[in-house]
Amino acid sequence: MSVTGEQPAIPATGHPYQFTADGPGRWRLSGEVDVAVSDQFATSLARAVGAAGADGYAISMDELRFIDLSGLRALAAAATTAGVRVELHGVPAVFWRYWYLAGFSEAVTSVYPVS
Amino acid sequence: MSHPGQLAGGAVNHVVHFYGADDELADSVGRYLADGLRSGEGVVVVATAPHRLAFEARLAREGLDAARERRDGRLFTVDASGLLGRFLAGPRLDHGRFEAAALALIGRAAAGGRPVRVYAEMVALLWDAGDVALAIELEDLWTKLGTRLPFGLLCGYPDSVLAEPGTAAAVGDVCQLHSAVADQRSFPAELDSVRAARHYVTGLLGAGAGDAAACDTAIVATELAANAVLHARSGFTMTFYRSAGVTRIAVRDMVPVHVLEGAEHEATGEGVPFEVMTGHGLSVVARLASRWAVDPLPDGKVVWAELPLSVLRAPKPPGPELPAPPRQEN
Repeated sequence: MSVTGEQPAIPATGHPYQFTADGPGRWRLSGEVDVAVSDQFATSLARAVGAAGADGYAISMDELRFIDLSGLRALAAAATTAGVRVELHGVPAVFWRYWYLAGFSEAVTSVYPVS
Repeated sequence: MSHPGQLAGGAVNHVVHFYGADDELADSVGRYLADGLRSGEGVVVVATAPHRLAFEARLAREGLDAARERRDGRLFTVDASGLLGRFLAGPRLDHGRFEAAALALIGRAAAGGRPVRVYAEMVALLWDAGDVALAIELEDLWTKLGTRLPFGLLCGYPDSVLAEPGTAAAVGDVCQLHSAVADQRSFPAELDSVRAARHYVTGLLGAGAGDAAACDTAIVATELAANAVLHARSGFTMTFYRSAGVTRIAVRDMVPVHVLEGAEHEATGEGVPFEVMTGHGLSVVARLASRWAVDPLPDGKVVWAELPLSVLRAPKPPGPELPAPPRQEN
């Protein structure tokens, strides 16, 4: 789903999501993640993972309104690469709907929902 | 491509159409009226003078002479504000007078027992004047009339009402009062169009829709739009249709299937895997949809998916067909 590469980039101007530090090993994801921003999201996520210790990291999603398959892919890739525990707090319905439909629930075992 | 004229037939008898530009309205209403006249129905138009002229011009393009249809008693055209004035009593609607006026009109159109279809925009006039509550009341009156007398009704609203602040609940009410909602909007070949298309359909879904409905509709709209922008690299037109039984989202792009996939994949619509036709994201759509297809066109294609009522009524995702979320390990 990446839009970079040999083809010319398709314009995107919006900044509909925020991914911000919320304490040591804690992050807050809000707004909407889809193909317009999933490359940026993957980059932010890679930084977060790089900064995480062996205990893993947590992402709060209370204010996440939407995330699409490309966003979930970024999250799944980051979780798999780091091999540490990833806790998700306040996960919205749309996240789980996609997560199961796309088969991530079986493929990614290091992600845990925490209500 | 579906349009309100087709949608209004059969079991669907009260359709709302949110239109962008006036010529878009003229196109879809013109087809709706022409379909009715051609199939021998009585056709009633309750519209503003400019819209009546535009519809008649559109009928002329279909080879139908509005003056002759009127003379022969098949087409009945009425001024929307004139008819509204007959039952608008100060700040309220006189239900009895509405019924009398509407029944007289529909009764004439139904001469000989033929089916009747109506296009009306009095509700839009009320909404425009700021009388949102009266507009919804009038929609309700039309719906109740439809339970006593069989006729097809297409209501037109400018889609600017969807963008008005503070009217989301009222738009939801309007959508709920109709047995079907049909709408169409075009988006440019930009990544931001995916988000815009998602907001567009969740807005049309209305405030009455449950979490599961909003969730699944957002997913389908997102993936269909992303498919057009990322794989076809094309602008697209999204059509939203919702009736009591189904929600259908269709995306028409401007890139034919063979341009994308090469001649080795013959486009045959249903049965062709989404992964072959389009992007991987659409496999998610295929799992949510009760029906889907890729309809090839000479200058592009339509990818559409239908969400069944059972999914829309699921109280909370994940639905009953999905496993429960994993529990935290201690």
